[in-house]
Order: sequence, then C-alpha cells, then structure tokens
Amino acid sequence: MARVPVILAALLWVACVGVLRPSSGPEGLRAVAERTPDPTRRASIHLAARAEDARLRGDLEAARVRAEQALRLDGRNPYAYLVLAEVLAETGDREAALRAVLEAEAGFRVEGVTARHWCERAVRLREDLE
Amino acid sequence: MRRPILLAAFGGVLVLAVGLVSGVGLLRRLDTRVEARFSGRLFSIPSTVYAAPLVLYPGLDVRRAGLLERLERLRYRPVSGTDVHLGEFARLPSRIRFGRRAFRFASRDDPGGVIDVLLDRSGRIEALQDAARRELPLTELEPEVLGELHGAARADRRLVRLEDVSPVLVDAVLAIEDHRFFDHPGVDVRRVLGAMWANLRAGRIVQGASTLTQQLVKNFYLGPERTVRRKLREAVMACLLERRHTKEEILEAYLNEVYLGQRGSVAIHGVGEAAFHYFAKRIGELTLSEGALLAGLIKGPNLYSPYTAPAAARARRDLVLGVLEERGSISEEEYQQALAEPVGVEERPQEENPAPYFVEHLRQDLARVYGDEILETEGLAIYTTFDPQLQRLANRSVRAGLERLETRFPELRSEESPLQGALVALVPRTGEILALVGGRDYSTSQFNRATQAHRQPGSVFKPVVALAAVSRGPEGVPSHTLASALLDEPLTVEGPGGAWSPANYDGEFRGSVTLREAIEQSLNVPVARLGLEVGPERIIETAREMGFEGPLQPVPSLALGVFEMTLLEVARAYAVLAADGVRPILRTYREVRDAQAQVLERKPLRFERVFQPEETYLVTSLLEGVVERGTGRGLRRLGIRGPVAGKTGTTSGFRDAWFVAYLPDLLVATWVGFDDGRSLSVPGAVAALPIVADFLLAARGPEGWSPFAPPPGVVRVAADPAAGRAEESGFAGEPEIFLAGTEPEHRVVETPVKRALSWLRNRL
Repeated sequence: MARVPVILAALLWVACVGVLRPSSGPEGLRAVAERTPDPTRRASIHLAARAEDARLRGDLEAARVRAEQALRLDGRNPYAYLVLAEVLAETGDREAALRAVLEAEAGFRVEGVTARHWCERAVRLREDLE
Repeated sequence: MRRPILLAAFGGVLVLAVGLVSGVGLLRRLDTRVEARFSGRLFSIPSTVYAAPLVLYPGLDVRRAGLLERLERLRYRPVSGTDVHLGEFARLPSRIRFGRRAFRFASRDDPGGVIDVLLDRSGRIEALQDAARRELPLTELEPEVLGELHGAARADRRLVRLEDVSPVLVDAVLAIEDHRFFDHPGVDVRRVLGAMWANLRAGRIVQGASTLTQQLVKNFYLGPERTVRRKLREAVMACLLERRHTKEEILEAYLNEVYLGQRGSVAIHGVGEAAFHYFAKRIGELTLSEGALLAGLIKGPNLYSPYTAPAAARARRDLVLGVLEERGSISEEEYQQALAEPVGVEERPQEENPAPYFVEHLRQDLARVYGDEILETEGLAIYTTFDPQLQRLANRSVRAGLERLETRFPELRSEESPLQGALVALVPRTGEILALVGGRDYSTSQFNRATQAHRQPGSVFKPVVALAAVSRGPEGVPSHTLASALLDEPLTVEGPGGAWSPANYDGEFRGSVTLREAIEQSLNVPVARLGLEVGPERIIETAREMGFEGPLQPVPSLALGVFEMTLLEVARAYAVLAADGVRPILRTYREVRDAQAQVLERKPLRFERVFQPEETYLVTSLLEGVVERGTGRGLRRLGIRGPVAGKTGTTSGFRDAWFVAYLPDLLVATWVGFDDGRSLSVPGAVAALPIVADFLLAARGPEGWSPFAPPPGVVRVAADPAAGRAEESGFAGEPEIFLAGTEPEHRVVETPVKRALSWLRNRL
C-alpha cells in the first residue's frame, strides 16, 4: 500500500513531462494539427508533418516540396517554416534557412505558450545558424 | 567476231560493277539514314505544363474548389453506384467517391486508390476515407494538364512500352494491319504479289501490301507520295530496319508513331495518347472492344472517327473483331460479347487551354533556359504553381466584367481596339502565381497586359507612399502615423518641368485630413503633400523594397503614381503588404523534369523580410478602411462581407482603371483599359473593382476566411477628450492604431468596453 503514492507520483510526473515535452517529430506535429481548430491551418500542419516524415527519412527534396505546399495552404504556419528551415539548413542553404526560421520563431511567439516547445526548437536552430 | 562479244561482255561487267558499287553506296546511305533516327530519339514530344495538385482536406468547400469539374477535366469517368475503379467517380448521397489514379509528386509515387469524400450539408468536406474506411487528414488529386508546348508539328503523344500495351490491342493491330509481321523480313512478298494481282485485275490500285515496318519507314523517313521509286526505297529501308532491330522494337515504335486522329489542331499519335483521347484510359486498361476500335482507326482515323462517323467506326471495329475471332485470337464468346458493346467513346475533350497567356509567359521564360527546340521536342514536364479552377474563375470574371462595362457604357465598345482587362491572382506569402489573364481574347491578341503592358498605376501607388511614411525607415522612427494631419489645400510645386498642381478627383479641398482619410478617400493633394514630407528618395527606396524594378524618378508627382509599371509588378508590391512585410520571389513553376522524370531544374520558395509585420499592418488597416469607408466600398455593395483590404486606381484622363484586393492568403490585382490609351471615362472603382468582387465571390464566397490579425507592436488607442495634445497632432478622437511608441502622448488606452461604446456612437 505504501507504494501507491509513489506509483501515482511517478505517473503524474510522466504525464507532466508528456505535456511539457511533447513529441517533436512528425507525430508531435500531427498531434498539434489535431488540436488546431482552423481546418486550413490543420491541413497545413499535416503537410508539415509529411515534410518532417520526408526529412527524417533523408528525402530532403520531398521534405522541401511538402513544406512549401504547407505554406501555399497557410502562409503563416510556423511549423511549416520550421521544417523548411531545418531542411534548408541540412542542404547547406544557411541564408534561406535563417529567413525561414525567423518567420517560424515570429509565428510561434504569436501562438504563445502552446507552441513554446516548438519555439525553443526554432530558437536553437536560429542560434546555430547565426 | 570475238572482239565485239568481248567488248559487250566487258561493258556488261562494267555496268554490273558500277551498278553494284552504286547500289551498295545507296544501301549504305539508306542504312545510315535509318540508323541515324532509329538509334536516337525517335519521337518529338512537346513539353507538358501541369497545374498544381489539389489538396483535399476536411473543411474544404468542394464546390468552390471545383472538385467535380476537376475530376471531369482530368477525365475521370462518372459512374452510378458505389463500385468505383481507378479513373472513375460517383456522386453519392452526401459523398463523392473517386478512384484516384496513381501519380508522382514530391519525388514519391502515390499509388492511388479509392477515396471517399464525405460532405456536410454546406458542401464542405466532413471527412476523407480510403478504401479500408481509414480516416485521412488530407489527400491530393493529380495535377491537371494546363497545356503543351508544341512546335510547328502540333502532335500529342504519350509514349508507351510494348509490355504495357494490352495483348488484345497488339493482336488487333497485327490482325488487321499485318498478320504475318513476326514472319516477314520487313516486306511481305506473298502479300505484295497478291496485291499486284488484285490491282492488275482491277486496272487500278485497290489493295496495299505495306507491312507495319514499311508504314513506320514511310512515316519516319519518307513522305506520302505514291511513286514506284518511293515504294522501292520504303521496301529496302524496311528490310534494313528489320536487319538491325528486333520485331518488338519496331512494333513498339509503330504503336507510338501511328496517327490516330485529331484534337482540334493537334494530331493524336500513338496508341497511348489515343487510349486517353477516346476512352480516358491508360493503355493497359483497354477492353477488347476498345482495342479493336483503335486498331480499326489506323486505316482512316477521320473516316472511321467514332465522333463524326459512329456507324463506320462500329462497322470497322466489328470487322477487326471478326478477324480476331477467325484467327483464333479470341473465343466465339468473347467475340459476341465485344460485338454487343456500344462504341463507348468519352465525350470529346475540349481543346480549350484555360491559361494561354500564362502558358506563353512560361514558354518565354523557359525558352531562355532550355531553348525552343528542347521545349518542343523533348517531352519535359513543367510543374507550375497554377490553380486551374481559379484561372477559369479569373477568365470568367474578366470577360463578364468587360461585357458589363460595355453594356453600361456603350461608347466603350470598339471593334478595332476593344476594351481590355488583365488579372493576376497569387499567394502573397509564397509568391506563387495562381491565375493570370493577359487580355480579353488570346486568339485575337497575344499581347500580355499583365506582364508586358507598362501603364501608370495612379492611386494604386499611394500605399507605397503610406508605407514609406509609417514604416521606421533608416532613421528607425516613422515620419508619420495614420493619424498625422495633412493639409488638403491648393498646392503648387515648382520644378524643372514647370509648376505642378495636383487636384483631388472631385476638385474639392477639405482643409485638413488625417493620413488615413487621405488614403481611404484617395485624395491626391494631401498624398502629394505626404510624398513631399516623406521625400521622394524614401518613397523610391520603399518601392524598391516592395519589388518595383522599373524607372522611378525623385519628382513630386512620384507619389501619385506617374511612373509606369506592369500589373504583375503592382501585384508583387501589394504581396509585401498582404504577407506582413515579406517579399516573395514570384514563382510560376516549381520544377522541370525531363522525359525520364529526372529533375532538370527546381525553383524553391524564396522570400525576404523587407518590413516588419506591424509596419505593413498599418497600411493593411488603411486599405481595409478603403473597403469599409473609402473608394473601395463597392466591394461591400457587391456582396463581399469578409475582411479584405483593397485599393482603387485611376490615372489622369481615366486611361487606366486598377483595383487590387487581398485577404491574408490571396491577392488579386486587375487592370482595365484600352491598348491605345483611350479614355475609359470611368474610375477604377467602376471599371476594375467589380471584376475583383466577382472573382473573390466565386473563389472564396462572401466571407468565412480569417481576419488580418494585428501583430505584436501595434497599439490601438482612443484620444483623451480632456487632452488637447492629441488634437494638435491631428488625432481627432477616433480610435486609431499606431506602432508602439508612436502613439500620442495624452491618450486613453482603449478597452473593449470603450471600443464597443465608440462603435455604438459611430453608428447612432
């Protein structure tokens, strides 16, 4: 019986970490998309998730095309700018990557606390690029 | 006696030797000619221009996106019932089911499959499901073909590999055209003798004996002339071709070369293109009856056309089926079944190219990189940014707008130089061109008024002056706010060209107005003053940052838009406002691939931040005011209810009418005028604005899109009635937005309650 509070505390800790540090890969993006009420933004984030899928499997060209497609649908989608910036950084186009990550960062700041985790990722990339 | 014999013998040998040598020479020449083409690129294939693929997602309005029209244009076959195969679609109660074809996008092959588009009552997508009823967050429809870049020989062809052609079609072609193809050496001697006998008996040519190889040689190397010499050459070349190439190679070349009909001015060559033209199918999907029809067409594509001569087409198909059955290629049952089928060709596709100005603009762009010959012969695939549905709406809006104007003002009607209009629609953030209309009718005038016509922009230029005034500039401090007072009193500026005195459109002077009022009401005199206060150099600097590249002189009249620019330049500059200060590089295409699908060129998204979001937001707010209260009110009257920014433009003597409008994610710019610079006698709000209204209503509906969200760094304040200072600064008490730090000193930060009271006060 004495173990119950320990187990509960552990579960609470895991849940908190889960909330504060959500998955940052494509699944994280899909989770963000599902929470997004605006249908166009939601579809755009799903496209950004596909871009992230492609980036992670090393198909940078597909990743770039998908991220651009996401921005065609919603030109203010910071997630798409972030994935695009990462793709551009990986292809060595630092100048374009920096422009994209600045847009991502600005967009996440507008989104506020819900995008804090993503904003941090953008800031890290920006600092790397600067 | 012996000497003449010897001489004759020697002569004979000599003639024989010379004949042999020249014969061998001729053979060599013919062989070289055959090989030169057959071992190289066999066919000239025009480059194909593709539109952007349509993304389908829950929430999308399928009517406005034109899903059904797109499916029809992509030649999906409508079917009734729920059993839908690839290339088919069905309209079912509250859903559209379609068998999406496989296609390649973003370097991946999309295998295709059945998609269910579930619709809600408003016609928006409620959910997307695949064949296994799994929910999909989104899916895509393959890109439409916008047009082809043909050379002088206007021929369409889809290359097929022999192994992809259904055996039934191969059997049908061989049975009716050359049933001993796999047995003869290029010339069918038995058939030649038979034909000669038949022709001799008839006393005229009643029967031919050309093998497939000979037909191919005739089409590839020789002409249609019917002389013995040409026939002999054809026979020799056919044998040479057969010596060097396999039967399969020759058959494949034949199936890709054969002429099978006409689509307007474009010839249909090859079974691949014909299968799509007549049946909207890929080559491997043809049924027995369809294969027999195509095989039957070879003899006379126009004579046996299922469109113009359905009875003859059917009789010919039945004949082919009969031959197939006679030779045992098909069973009696298959034969009877195929005979019973109707000649089910697809509705004849329209030749209309929805975007001729765009395609030509693209061709000129690409020709600079690749050259005309490569574009017209090497089958490149050009993936553009175009939206064919928006293009059709744009075509319709321009055409209808001009016709309406001519009906209302009959004096605008002209035969020699008709009233013209142009339109550009683009995605502001990415700079992707979505639709482009370069004139009223491409067939009568190919001059592209969106990209080639340099016209004075007039008041459409005023937002550039406003941005120069309210952005921080090199000093880091804006020279004006939206509430700054500007004198609206007679103004005369002496310059090297003489005195210049601008006037307002109504000839009136209002004493003093705010910058906001000057832009919303498009008042020339206060904006000219603003231009002088800001300085022409700063205006030019701002214009360059917004992407204007043409000549601009630092003269007082600069502020009123006297320097000529194209509609596309105007659209690009406004894109900076719509995109929160980001200037995109305009893109008409995304990627070019060669015939083997290898990437030749990529045009990635490129942009640069040239203004801060809060700076451009101030100008967007002005242009929202233009639509709410100013010269763009017509948009509201015509039914646009959602948030929109816009600006009218009219040049001196009413020679040009402009209107530019944007939503956060769509920008549309229009120009109306005469090529010869005649007066329209009506302003931009009358001539150009209704075209934009029409386009927006059709593309987006009256409302339902997101508003322009104020970025951080903008404050909205109301004047403190007790404080005089605000009045002094020209801030008369109406709530106004400012860059943080530039708001009047004595102010009251507006609370929601105060904002509501102010709103009520304004309306009561």
